[in-house]
Amino acid sequence: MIQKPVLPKNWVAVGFSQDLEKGQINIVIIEELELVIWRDHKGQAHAWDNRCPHRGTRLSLGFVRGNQLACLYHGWQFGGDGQCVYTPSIPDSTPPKSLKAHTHRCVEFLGLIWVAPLDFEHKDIRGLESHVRDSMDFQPVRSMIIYCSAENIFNRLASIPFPPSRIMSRRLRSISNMRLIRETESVFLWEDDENRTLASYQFREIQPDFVEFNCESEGTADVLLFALQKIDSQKTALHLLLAPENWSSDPISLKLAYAQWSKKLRNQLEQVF
Amino acid sequence: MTKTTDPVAINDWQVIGRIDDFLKGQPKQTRLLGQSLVAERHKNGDIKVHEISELGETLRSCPVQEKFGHVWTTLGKPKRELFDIPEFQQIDRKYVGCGGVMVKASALRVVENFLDIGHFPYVHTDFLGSEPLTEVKDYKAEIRIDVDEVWADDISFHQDKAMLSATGGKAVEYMYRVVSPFNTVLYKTCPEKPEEWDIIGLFAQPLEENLCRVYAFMLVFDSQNTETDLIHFQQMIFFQDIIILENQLPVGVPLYDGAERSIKADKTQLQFRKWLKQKGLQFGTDQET
Amino acid sequence: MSSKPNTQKGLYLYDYILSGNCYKVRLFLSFLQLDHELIPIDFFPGFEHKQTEFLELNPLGQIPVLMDDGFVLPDAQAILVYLAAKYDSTEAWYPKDPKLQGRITQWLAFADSITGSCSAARLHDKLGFKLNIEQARKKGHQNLRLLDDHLVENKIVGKDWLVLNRPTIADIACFPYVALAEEGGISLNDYPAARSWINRFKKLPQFIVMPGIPPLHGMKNNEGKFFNQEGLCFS
Ligand SMILES: N[C@@H](CCC(=O)N[C@@H](CS)C(=O)NCC(=O)O)C(=O)O
Ligand code: FES
Ligand SMILES: [Fe+2]
Repeated sequence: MIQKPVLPKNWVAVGFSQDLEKGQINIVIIEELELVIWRDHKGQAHAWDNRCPHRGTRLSLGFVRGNQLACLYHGWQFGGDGQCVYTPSIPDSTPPKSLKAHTHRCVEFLGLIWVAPLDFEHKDIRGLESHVRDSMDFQPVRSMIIYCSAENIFNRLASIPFPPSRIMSRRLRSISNMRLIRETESVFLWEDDENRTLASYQFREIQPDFVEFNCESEGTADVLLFALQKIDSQKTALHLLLAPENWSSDPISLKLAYAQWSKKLRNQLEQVF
Repeated sequence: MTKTTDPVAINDWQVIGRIDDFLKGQPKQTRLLGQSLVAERHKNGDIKVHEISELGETLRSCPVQEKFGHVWTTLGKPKRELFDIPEFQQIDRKYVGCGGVMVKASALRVVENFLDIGHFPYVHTDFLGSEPLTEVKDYKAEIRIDVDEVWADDISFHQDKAMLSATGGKAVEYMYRVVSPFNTVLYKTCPEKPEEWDIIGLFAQPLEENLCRVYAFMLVFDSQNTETDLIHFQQMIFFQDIIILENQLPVGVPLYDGAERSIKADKTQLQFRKWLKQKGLQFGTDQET
Repeated sequence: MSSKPNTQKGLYLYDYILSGNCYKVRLFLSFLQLDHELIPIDFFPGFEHKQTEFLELNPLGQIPVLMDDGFVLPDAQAILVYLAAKYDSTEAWYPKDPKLQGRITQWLAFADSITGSCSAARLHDKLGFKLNIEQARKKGHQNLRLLDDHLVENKIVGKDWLVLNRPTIADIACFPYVALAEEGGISLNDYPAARSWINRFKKLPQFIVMPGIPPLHGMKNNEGKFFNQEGLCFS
C-alpha cells in the first residue's frame, strides 16, 4: 500500500523569497508531498497542500486575489488561514467553518521560504538563526533541481568543482593539472602537481540538509549555504546562498560565477558512477 | 494495466472510435477498460473487433455496432441496448464530430466536468461565462429510474458567447442527460432556432483507469458557420477543460462520503455519483483506503 | 478550406486554434494591434493541412501560414520576423542591432527545437500522433533546463526576458510550447524560472490566451474589473 506522503518534522527551505512576488503562486514538493506556495498582497507567504477541497484541483493552477488564494476550477477563495471565504456559484452564502484548505507553517528567514508541519514543536526558526554566522550578508545565487538524492549529494561531493576564482584568476586558469582530495570528513582540497593547495572547501552541518561551505582560494574566503529540499528518492532541490568576504567589488559577476559553478556541480552530481 | 474485473463497465456498450477511423484493410489497435483490442473493417464493410493478448494473439471476438457517427463494442454481455439519441434522426441538424482527444484523467471526471456549470466563468472565461455573473441558480437534478439515466433541468446561466452562432451575451437554458456512465449529452438554447435545442455530447472511451479518449460532437442548427469553425470552437472549449481534468487528485472520482466537499450548485454531480454508486461501477472511481 | 480570402488585400492567418505555432502569431498580432482575419484549418481530425489545396500554399504541409496583401509566408518564426520588420515601427520586438538580431535568431531556432520536442509530445499525448514519446519528452526536458538556466542567469544580470529586459520575438517564439508542455506529459515542476517567465507574459498589455494557457484572473476583482499593475494590490 502506498503511504500518503507527510511533511518531515523539520524546517525545509523551498525557495527564495525574491522568487515569489506578491500575487505569485509556486508549486514545490517535499518528500513527495506536493505543496502550493503563494504570496498574498500584504506580502505574507503561505504553504498549503496543493489540492482544493472541492474537486481536488491543484491550487497551484489558481490565482491570488487580494489576500486570498482562488482555485481555477470554480473560483473558490481561501483566506490566509485556509478558510474558504467565497464560493462564486452561490455568491451570497457564507461557506461553513469546516471548509478549509490544508495549511502548513511557513516563514521567511535568510531570504528563503521555509516550511514545517503545523504541529512541529520548534515553532521558531530562530533556532536555526543562531547557528548561521552573524554579520554575514547572505544573498541568493539560485535554486536548482538536481537529479540526485539528498544523501548522494554529500557522498558525491568528492567531485565538487573548483571554485569560481579559477575563472577570475589568470594564474589559476594557467594551471592544468589539479586534483581534488578529501582531507578529512569535512575538508576538501584542490592541489596542484606539487601538492600546493590552490583552493579548499570546508563544510559544517547546521542541520541535516542545511550546510555551510567555506570556500577559500586566491586569498579570498567565500561562504556558501546549501539548503537542500528532498523532492523524492531521485531528486533534490538545492537553494544556494552566497556571502563573499566582501560584496562590494562586483556582486553581479560574482553571483553569476557561482551560478555557473553550480551548473558544473549539478553536472557532476548527476553523473551516474 | 490488465482488463478490468468491473462487471458494470464490462457489461456495457463503450465507444472505441469514430466510424471514419476504421478504413478497409487498415486494422487498428486500441485499448478499452485496460484490455487491448484490434478492430478492422472487412471487405463487406463490417467491422470486426477482437480482444488480443499482450503478445498480439486473438483472444475472443466482441460485438460491434456503428451508431451516432461512432463505433461501439463491449467486453461482456450488455444487459440493455445501446442508449438512443433520437436527435440524430433530425436531418436538418448539422452533425459535427470533433475527433478523439486523449485526456490523462478518469473518464468519469470528464463526464462530471461536462455536467458542471459553476466552472464556466473561470475556465471558459468570456465564452461560457464571466465574472461577476457566477451564480448558479437553483435547478432540478434527478435519477430517472424508468430510463436509468441522470437528468438535470431548469438550468439558466449567463453566457458571453454560448455558441459560435450566438451574438452578444444572454441567459442560456440548459438540460443535461447522462445516458451511461461514460456518455452524456446536453441541450442548450439554440441561437438560430429558439424553438429547438442545440446538442453537444461527449462519448468517452475509458482506456485505463486514469486515461481516456473523448469524442465530442455537436448536433446543431447553424447555417452561418462552417464545420471547421464549429470544430475549432468546440475543441477550444474542451482544451480549456483539459488543464483542469489533468490536475485533479485523486485521479478517480471518489464515491465515498467526505472525500470531496460539495455545494448546492453541484446537484447534478451528486446525483451522478449516487447513480454510479447504485450501479456499483468501479472503473474510474477512487476506492476509499 | 473553410473560407478563402476573396481578396488579396489585407492580413490573413491560416490558423488552428490548438496550435502553439499559430498562437505565436496570433499573440504577436495582438501585441502589435494589427487587424487581421483568421482562416481556420481543420488540422484535426480533418488533416486539411496535408491536402492538395493547402499544400499549394505551404508544400511542407504545416501551419501557420501568413498572407499579407498576397504575400504568402509559412513558418511561425519567419512570420514573427516579417511582422516585426514590417509593422513594428518602435523596433522594440526585433531591434535593428546586429548582435541583438543574432541573439534573437538563436532563440528562434531554439523555438523550433521546442516544437520538435514539447509540441511533439503534446501531439502524441493529446491527439494520438505516432512518434517516439520518450525521446520527445527527454529532449523537451533538456530544452526546458537550458531555458530555465538561461532565465536564472539573466535575472542575476537584471534581465527578465530571454534577450533583453523586455520581451522580444525570441520570447514569443519560445513561449507557447513551454506553457503547454504539461499537456505532453512534460512537467514544469523543475523549472521555476520558466514558470515565472510564463506568468510575466500573462501580465503584458494586449496579452491573449489560448486553450491550455489560462488567463491571470488575479488581475481582476470579484466584479470582473481589471486592475492596472499598481492597482493590483487592493489589500
Ligand atoms: N517550423 C514551423 C513548424 C510548424 C509546425 O510544426 N506546425 C504544426 C502545427 S503546430 C504542423 O503543421 N504540423 C504538421 C506537420 O509538421 O506535418 C513553424 O514554426 O511554423
Ligand atoms: S475544485 Fe476548486 S473550486 Fe471547485
Ligand atoms: Fe468545461
